[in-house]
Amino acid sequence: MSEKFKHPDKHTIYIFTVDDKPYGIDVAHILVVKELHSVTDITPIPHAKYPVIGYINVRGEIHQVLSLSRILHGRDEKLDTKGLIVYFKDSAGESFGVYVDSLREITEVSSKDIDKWEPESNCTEENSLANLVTAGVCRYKGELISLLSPPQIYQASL
Amino acid sequence: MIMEEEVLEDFLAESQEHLDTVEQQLLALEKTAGADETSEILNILFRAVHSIKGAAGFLEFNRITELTHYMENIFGKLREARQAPSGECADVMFRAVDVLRGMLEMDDHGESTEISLILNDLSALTCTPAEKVVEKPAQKLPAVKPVSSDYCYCVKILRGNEEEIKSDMSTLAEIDLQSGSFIMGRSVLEPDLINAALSEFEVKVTRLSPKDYQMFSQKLLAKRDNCPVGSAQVKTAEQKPETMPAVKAESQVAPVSEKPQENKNEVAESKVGASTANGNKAESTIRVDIQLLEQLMSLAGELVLVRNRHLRWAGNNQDGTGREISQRLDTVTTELQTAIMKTRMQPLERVFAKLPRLVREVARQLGKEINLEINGGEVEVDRAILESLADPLTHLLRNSCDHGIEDPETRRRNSKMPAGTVIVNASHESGQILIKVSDDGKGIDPEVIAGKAVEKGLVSAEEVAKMDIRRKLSLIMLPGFSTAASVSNISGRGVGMDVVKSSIEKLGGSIEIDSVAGRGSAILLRLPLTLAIIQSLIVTRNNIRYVIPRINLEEVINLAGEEVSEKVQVVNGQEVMSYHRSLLQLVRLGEVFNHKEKFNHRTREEIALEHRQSTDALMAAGGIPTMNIAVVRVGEYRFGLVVDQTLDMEEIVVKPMHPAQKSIGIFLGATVTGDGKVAPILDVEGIAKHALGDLHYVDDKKHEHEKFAARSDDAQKMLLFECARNERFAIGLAFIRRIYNIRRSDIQKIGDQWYTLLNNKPVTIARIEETIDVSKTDVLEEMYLIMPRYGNRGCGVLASKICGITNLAVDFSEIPQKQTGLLGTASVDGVTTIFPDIYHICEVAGNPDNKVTAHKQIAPSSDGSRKRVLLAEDAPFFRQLISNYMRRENLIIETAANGAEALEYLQNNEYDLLLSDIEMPVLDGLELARRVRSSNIGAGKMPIVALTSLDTEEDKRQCLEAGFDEYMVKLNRELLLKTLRKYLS
Repeated sequence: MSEKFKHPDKHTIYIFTVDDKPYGIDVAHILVVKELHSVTDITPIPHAKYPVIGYINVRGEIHQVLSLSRILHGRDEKLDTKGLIVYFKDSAGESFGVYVDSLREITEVSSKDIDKWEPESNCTEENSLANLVTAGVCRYKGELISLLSPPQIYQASL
Repeated sequence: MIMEEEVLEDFLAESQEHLDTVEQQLLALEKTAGADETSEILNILFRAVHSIKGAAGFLEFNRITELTHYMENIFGKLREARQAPSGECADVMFRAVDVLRGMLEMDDHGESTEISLILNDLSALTCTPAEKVVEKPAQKLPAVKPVSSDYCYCVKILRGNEEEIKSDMSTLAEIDLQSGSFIMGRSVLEPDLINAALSEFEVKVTRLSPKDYQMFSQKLLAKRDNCPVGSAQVKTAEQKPETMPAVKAESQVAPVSEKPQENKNEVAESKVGASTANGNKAESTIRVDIQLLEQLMSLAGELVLVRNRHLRWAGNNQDGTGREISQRLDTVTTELQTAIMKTRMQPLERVFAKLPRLVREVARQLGKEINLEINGGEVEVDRAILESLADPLTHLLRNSCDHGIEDPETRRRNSKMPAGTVIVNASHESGQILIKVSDDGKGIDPEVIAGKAVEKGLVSAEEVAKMDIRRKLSLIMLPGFSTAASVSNISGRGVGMDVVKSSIEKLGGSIEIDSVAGRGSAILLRLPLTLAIIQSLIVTRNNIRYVIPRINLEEVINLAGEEVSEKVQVVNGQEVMSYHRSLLQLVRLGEVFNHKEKFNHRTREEIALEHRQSTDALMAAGGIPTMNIAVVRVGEYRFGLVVDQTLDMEEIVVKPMHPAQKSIGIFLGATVTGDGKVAPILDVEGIAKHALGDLHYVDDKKHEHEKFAARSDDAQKMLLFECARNERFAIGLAFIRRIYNIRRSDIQKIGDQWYTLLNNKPVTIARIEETIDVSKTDVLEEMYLIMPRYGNRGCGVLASKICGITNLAVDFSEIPQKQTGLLGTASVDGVTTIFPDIYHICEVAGNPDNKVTAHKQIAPSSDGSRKRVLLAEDAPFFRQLISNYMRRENLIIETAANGAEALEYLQNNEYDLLLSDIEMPVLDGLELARRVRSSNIGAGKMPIVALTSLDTEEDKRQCLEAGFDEYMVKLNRELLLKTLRKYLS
């Protein structure tokens, strides 16, 4: 890792889209990003919590795949082989990943461009999960990008 | 104290093994009569305790050393006298073993344990033949507690006269280990003083650092483990525990030996011990860290998955070389997996070994005489299962001893041997482990169990009334159930059997109870061989694979076409299927997935209705419905799981559910199948609870003897229904093809006749009051149409309410007056119930102008006498029914309840025809036919017709070979009458 990525005032953000909207996750949480070869690679788990799309086999280990569409927008995702699964380190939660529509870019963002998100206490039921998983908002290229918290995403599956 | 972790672990493991040996041998001593055998066992006991003492002394576990020293002394005395310990002595020894086990498990290995009580008991023992039981060695034992001022030494003996050296070495505070010409020791004396004290001997004293001392000692200890046991030093150590609490053996050299004559004996004894206790074990086995084994197992599991994927791939992409490589990979993987699996396998003996002592102690406490027989201790099972088996087995044994076996006096009064017997039997069967715990005690009274369960509010009296014996017995496993009048410290705490049941089920096993009052009980545990890699059936739902563990699978049934509509019925809103002469409730996997909430009656009804309609629609459109059913077992219950497809059996590696989804009750875990995808493993019990309620599903699978008993008592599954309010009817399920839900608006009247459309075909509706004298049918918004299995299939009996299904033994012989269309009446659960003849009712409804079917009766014989038919049928219900049919044909009917009775009638009377069931007690139909044909009864011309519910081609072939002329299914009235006419007209 080069020195510039270690700068305390900088964050490396993985920016991706879900339902055509950009979101970001600090790469410090990310284990690996993999393509979805076939939509049937994910086995649905009946009776699982709403955010859970299903299980997937990653090198012999079973991972849980969560849907950011369901968490953020309250609707089912459109699984596509163009999509990606972002897997997280165990520090964020045990063996899990999220399905995202596409990768936009990986970039560095200054800390001063990130505002911490204070969860709203009186949010509606519809956006309560989105409220829960949002860690901050980042200003980037004139856009406001919601930064998501992987540990909180994991919590949404419990 | 500096201590290598491995040495400590070895000590703890070995000590537990030695204590196992002590327990086993103490029990063996009680049954040993011969002096030689006693002597040999005492040797083993002595050595086991001595080994613990030696190692404990070396590790400075002083309390353990002290306690084992007392025990060793007693065994030594007994050995000298070649005398087995008394029961009292054995009791104390067993307690000492328990104390030692507790000390071994403690963090400080018993150093803080108060052992004065058990030492006093040991001291007070008078079981030894010597005038003095045992000295108070604690006073003579050196102060072995390590002190900071201890110095460690190695004394190298440079020349002979070991006796002298030995005596002076007593100035050392402690001697821990000696090896040949070395003596390891520790002392409070400083180096100068030691050198001065030993200066007159040819020795070299080297002071060691504690670390070096430890290392050196370990090396010697390891050397000891590999050397032949039997050196003189072993003996010396045994004789001088006060000064040599941890002497280790070394071959050849005996620098501190005492009397040569004694040595000779001791050597011989030690050699025996070496062959029995250690033997070649040290050379052929090693201790391996369990974590390493787990890792190997996990890797083997991964390899199995890769193999499965490769085989699937190779199935589509292979040339000659590829095929060869695949086959080799398959073989090697299987062998590797088997070998690694074996490392996890341990004999049940490890759990069984604790049982003799348990039974002995419980028997002594209760004043009973109980023999324990154990078979199959060599059967191996996965260590994870083995570890979880100890508690359930202990509980079952305690129950057998406490509640099962009677006291000697009671047994004598009941003409039994005063000593009861408990048998533990283990065996392999179809990839499972079966463990049966049986006793010849008083058995379990199912009625008492049922009464208690009702009294405690665990089940209702109504539910109990519908239960068979097995269901009643299984009530004992409900949480909180206890039949003990008072809670004892042996068992009967009321939390036992349900815990046993849940423990066994957690392991993927099942438990069944069988009992005959006065004769004894048997509890059968079925367990998987391993929890890690299991045989499973792969099934699909919506093209997704799911796994059913082999242990839960009983059978796979595929129905197609008419079979679906004929065999699958809806009873009281629940889809059921006839299965081995009883009913099997059906659960559709897809519906379980679709309904996150547990099913209720309404859910079940809606599901049944929806699927029935779709089946009917498919058939009406000319399609062929299919149904794939995995008959699965949960304990003693069976139900049919309807899936889309049943694929192959496959070995799968069990992986737990993701922690976030563990609360889902319908999955046990997940696996990766050959196609690389994740397949959830179905939790059959969870599915049953989800779809059928909390174990309130029908138990329809009975043991063979129970089936027979049920048949003999004419226990029939009966559909209970009402036509008018509070007027109950019952029809045997065997006579019903199907039950339809119809709406009032679907019923049309044309002339005097009622019709409805089923599958776009008109069906005649029979109102029961039109044939027999009963109240008028209430026509409600929703009605039921009960279709007969045989006879007029275009007609159904109208019912307003389905009340349920019950298992009934009915006998109509006491009914004084019978109406046409009425088989009889009987009291069912205190309600007078009418048993209509569904065939006759439909027959009448199909001929509205002639209320009684007009047909030509069978003509009498040429002399005018009516034809005589002998009916051999064990079930009174069928005897009654078939007799009714035949009487209408102007025949004289005589009935026999079994083949032997029929044979007697045949030998003393003449009949024109013999109509016989096949399955009957005493003498079955096949044998009856053979004997009739071989004895020339009826001049070999009398027709014999088989009337049976066995309907396979093989059954038919056997019947014809036995001498039957005709073969027919007993419920088909039309065919029966046609056949009678054929042979009698």
